[in-house]
Amino acid sequence: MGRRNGPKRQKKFLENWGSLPSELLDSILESLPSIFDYIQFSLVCKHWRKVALNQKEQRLRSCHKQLAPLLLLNSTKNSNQTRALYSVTQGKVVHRFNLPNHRYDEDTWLCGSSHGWLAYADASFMVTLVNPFTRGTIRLPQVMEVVKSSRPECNSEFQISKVVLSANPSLFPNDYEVLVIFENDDGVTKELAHFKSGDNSWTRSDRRMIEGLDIIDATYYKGRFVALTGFDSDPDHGVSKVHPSIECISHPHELFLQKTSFLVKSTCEDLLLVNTSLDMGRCFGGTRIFKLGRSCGPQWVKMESFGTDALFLDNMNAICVSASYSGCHPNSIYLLEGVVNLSSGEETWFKRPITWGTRSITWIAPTMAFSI
Amino acid sequence: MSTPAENEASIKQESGPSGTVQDKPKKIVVRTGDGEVFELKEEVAMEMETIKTFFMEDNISYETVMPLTNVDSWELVKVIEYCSKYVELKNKENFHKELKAFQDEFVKSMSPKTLLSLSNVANYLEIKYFLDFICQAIADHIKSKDVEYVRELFGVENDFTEEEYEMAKTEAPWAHENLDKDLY
Repeated sequence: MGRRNGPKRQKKFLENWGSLPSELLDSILESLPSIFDYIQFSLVCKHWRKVALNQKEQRLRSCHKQLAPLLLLNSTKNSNQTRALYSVTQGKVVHRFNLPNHRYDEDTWLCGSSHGWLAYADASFMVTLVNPFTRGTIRLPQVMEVVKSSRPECNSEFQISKVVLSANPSLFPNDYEVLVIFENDDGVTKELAHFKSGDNSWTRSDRRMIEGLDIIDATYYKGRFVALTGFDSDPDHGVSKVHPSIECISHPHELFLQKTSFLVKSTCEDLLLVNTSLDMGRCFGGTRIFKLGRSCGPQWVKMESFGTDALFLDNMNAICVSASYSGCHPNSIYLLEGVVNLSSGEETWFKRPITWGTRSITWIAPTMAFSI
Repeated sequence: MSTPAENEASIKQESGPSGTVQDKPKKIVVRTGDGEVFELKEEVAMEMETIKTFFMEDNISYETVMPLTNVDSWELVKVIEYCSKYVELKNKENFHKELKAFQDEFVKSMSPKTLLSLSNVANYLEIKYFLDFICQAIADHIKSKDVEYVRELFGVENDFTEEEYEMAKTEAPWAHENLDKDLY
């Protein structure tokens, strides 16, 4: 192996790695898609921060679509108002916050998580939006007021079951809309109400149109709210007569028992319908995915997988993220208890730090307010 | 572990350029910063932009020994190992799969300091795919680690003032709270 013992000149190593060339640091940072890693990187020293800020533009553009949702938990500290956010990709609690000063008793409940905001409703039909990251709060007018005036016989048997936002009120404070699904105690009669930032009150869906319509889920998609209605709904309700900013689309022919259907937007901007069980054990075999196609009118096309997306699901919310960017498993469903990989059938349970009930728990998409 | 590089590049005594004949496979000779001389297969050497430019631009004869003052011999051995493998697998069907297997083995026991040295070399020799690979391996070492760990690993000093540091943190306050301890 004749290696020559030549004069071994001491090579000049960089004494301070912090002065690594920017292109090198840039390359390393590009391999760190997680926002947590990005932030740690930007705090190492001034030079590193500069490199990070250079990448900020391109990250901000893809940021809100790519972050893995965090799981909202109750804190074990004896306080009704404290909540914690748990990251499944990091396996730990990453944030804690207090709900704004409000009477949080049994009469207040979580009814939505949209664009990084949580929606709480109480018995008087007051909806409050809370952002756990910026600690912002938005109190919306009572939905009930509208209902009361047109239906004097209506009482608090109605419950708000879901709240959907069209956009993040932090980014669009004067240009966001809210849709609320509320249902009667029998869980059968459902109604919709709509609110746009700047309005004084809610607009309820026309009752005559709503009658006979079974509303399964709703989401915001390409400029309007889309409500998923039961298959046996009156076909005349097909197109939006319920409310101008709401389109109703009926469920595909196959309706599976003991499973729930959700509408969600994929990362490539398709509208998906996911019919599955929220029970870890039954999720793998029983998941059906459909994509909305528009060849001759709206129709559902069966899909085999989520591709490179990961789906986060709970009983009131569905979020799709790109698996590689967010550090999640592709073609997998993240339920409250763990992950189900639809390609392999593998089930992985989360290491839950504390126990929690199911109603007040949901996924929430983290948002980041960059200073300008 | 005997490196495949030793099959690909023969190390010769510094006794003058070899008298090459036209039909023999072309070799390129380089000298590392610590005085070692390496003979590289032309196809492997051409994977490194720096070397390629040196010989191609001014039509320099292959008899010239190119100095690589910023590269140590152990580093060059590793680079040759990777590039040779890459060239070998490049046109194969299972390219990605086999490359991945090789990559995992390649970095398996490498310390972050080793990776950092190699990243500098990859940058200097301008081998894009190797640089991307090494940077990914470095990134994997600091994934999910906090800023203190990263500073220690790279031997970087915090040159922010306290004010500047607090300002920087306000961009995402929720990312700085490490609350596992106080939650219980």
